[in-house]
Amino acid sequence: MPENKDDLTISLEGRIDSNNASDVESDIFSRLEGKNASAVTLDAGALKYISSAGLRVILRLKKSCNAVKIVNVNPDIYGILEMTGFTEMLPVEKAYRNVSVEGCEEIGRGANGTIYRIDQDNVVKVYNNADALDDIKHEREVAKLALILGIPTAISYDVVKVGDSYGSVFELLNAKSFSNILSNDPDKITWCVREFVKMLHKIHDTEVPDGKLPDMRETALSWAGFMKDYLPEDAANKLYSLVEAVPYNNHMLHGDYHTKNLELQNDEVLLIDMDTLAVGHPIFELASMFNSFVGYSEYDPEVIRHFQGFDNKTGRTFWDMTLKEYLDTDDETKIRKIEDKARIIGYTRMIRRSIRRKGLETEKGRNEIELWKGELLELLGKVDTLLF
Amino acid sequence: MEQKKIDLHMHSSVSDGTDAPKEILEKVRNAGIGIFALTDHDDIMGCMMIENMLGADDPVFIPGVEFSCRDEDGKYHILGYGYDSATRPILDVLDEGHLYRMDKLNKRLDFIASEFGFTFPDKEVDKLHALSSPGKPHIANLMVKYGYAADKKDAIDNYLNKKSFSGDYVRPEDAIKGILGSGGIPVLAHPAYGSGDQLILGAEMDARLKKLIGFGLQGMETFYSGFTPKIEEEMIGFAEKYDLYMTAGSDYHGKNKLIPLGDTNLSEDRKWPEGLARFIKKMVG
Repeated sequence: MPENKDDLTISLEGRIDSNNASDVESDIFSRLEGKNASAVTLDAGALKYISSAGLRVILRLKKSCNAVKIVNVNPDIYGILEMTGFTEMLPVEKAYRNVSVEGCEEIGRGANGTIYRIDQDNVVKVYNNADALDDIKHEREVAKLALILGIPTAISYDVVKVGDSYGSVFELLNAKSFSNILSNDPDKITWCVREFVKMLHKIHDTEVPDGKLPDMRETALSWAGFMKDYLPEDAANKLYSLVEAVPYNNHMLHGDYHTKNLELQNDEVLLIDMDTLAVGHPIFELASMFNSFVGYSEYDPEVIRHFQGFDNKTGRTFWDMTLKEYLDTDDETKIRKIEDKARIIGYTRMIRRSIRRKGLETEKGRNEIELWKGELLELLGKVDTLLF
Repeated sequence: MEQKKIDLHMHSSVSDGTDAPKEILEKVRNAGIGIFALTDHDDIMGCMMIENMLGADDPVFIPGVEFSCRDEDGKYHILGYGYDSATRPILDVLDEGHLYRMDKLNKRLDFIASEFGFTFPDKEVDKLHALSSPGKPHIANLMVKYGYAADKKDAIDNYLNKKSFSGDYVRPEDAIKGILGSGGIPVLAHPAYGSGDQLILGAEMDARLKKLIGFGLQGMETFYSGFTPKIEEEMIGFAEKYDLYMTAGSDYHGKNKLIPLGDTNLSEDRKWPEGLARFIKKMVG
């Protein structure tokens, strides 16, 4: 609705109960008098308590002025408004609790945000996008979908403000990420690979009803399209047609599957950071995994230590063991062939990402892009299908 | 009977409304209400006045009352409808309530006399005693009149509210028995809101109802100006569960609250639920 100059915002403060409800009501209606307000916003930021006498004031306001909304509602009052059906009658917007992540352990970092542990039982995912409410809603919905489809994950139970950004809070009791386990206890690598692959199969075996999740093939096609300006025409066309030839697949992909996004909570393995969930052929997943464990640190080996907490040698070993376990084969030739397919998408994604983040403006960025581009061109010369 | 617009919960100046019973009747006529009840707090004088004013073409009138009750579990407003005002049981409850209010009035007057030195001439105190439901607003008016307080709000906030007098209250079982004893129907007013300022839903509401039904409660005010559709639905569910009469009321208080007369949330084109139709049939025939 367009803002009207007569629209009114009224602040509600302190307590509203039978002692002052009629004063509050007279005050609201006297402010409406003579105005042709088509919309009234009640700002409950400073409202501490509302009794049923106060609720009736809002109800009468709603009866006399159709477009009433309540904003900045604290959790207790939101609970009351929900229980009494006000949230079904008019828009009610929650106030967001402020949470600081200063000094908190960073336990994960994904494409859209960073996850911090705020106390022993809770983590908060802080979104990069300042206006992240839609992203948060999306992630909640896809996480719920995944849970319904049998993927163990954590669902956010609260939305908070973290500085100027939004965060969603999850319960993650005594959980440790697989990166953390690998960094502190390298002997557990075999166990980690087995659990990591078990979860990966579980994801890839999950069929998703049509239209519930984005199609990864479409996304990869847009990456391939982007590369037309940066690759020789033949190579660019080949890249595009390789992606185009991957058939639609309704199985789930995590989209950002690495060891920071897998958590061990007591004895249960949980998948987190669900906002990149998609459907598609598993080659797209392997591509992003290759990047996480190998690709991003091919030029600068320190990248992986910063990101995962372990060194690039561990990353490489973990990737090799994972691929072998996932493909269930000892045939090295076969493994390397499938790795090459994954690398095609992997390099495409990294080059695009770096260029969009102004990689071409720094020397390091240019060197990285050159390295990845060289690998990509070589692969395009020998790979004829992404399918396996 | 044929469905009409109804409002079975309103207050006149006999209790804490601002319209005299005569004005109430006029407003009911103008509002196109077909069946109405006056339900002053703890007083039936307004009903007797209206009964004497009714003409042949007037809306159907049901005598009512709203008792303020309390027990260990909380506060209740209990409506009584269709009682015989010439019989003792309901008059005994009214007398009991009156006695408690007078006692509380005297305690309040003693408190402001000893604490702040506020005293009033005997004739003013006698006038207070002559009122059927004298409360804080009436004392506050006197304080303003005699210059002890700047205005009514000042009198209440800064003096009268300095001490609360819990006093004695009519118990819900006594109100229910009194109404039944005089041939009336006891109905729980605005059930979800307790005595007006609480929020009682779910299991708490269920426990409350079970107890009151044990005392003889027969109905619930399921349609109420202050209910949201969700609360209304829950109240209807309870009435159906316990096979109770249903009633509909606005709780109109004239200028004292901004509730329009006749606003019960029961739309005129909605078919009366069985519990309401049964209540109207029982009261009106």
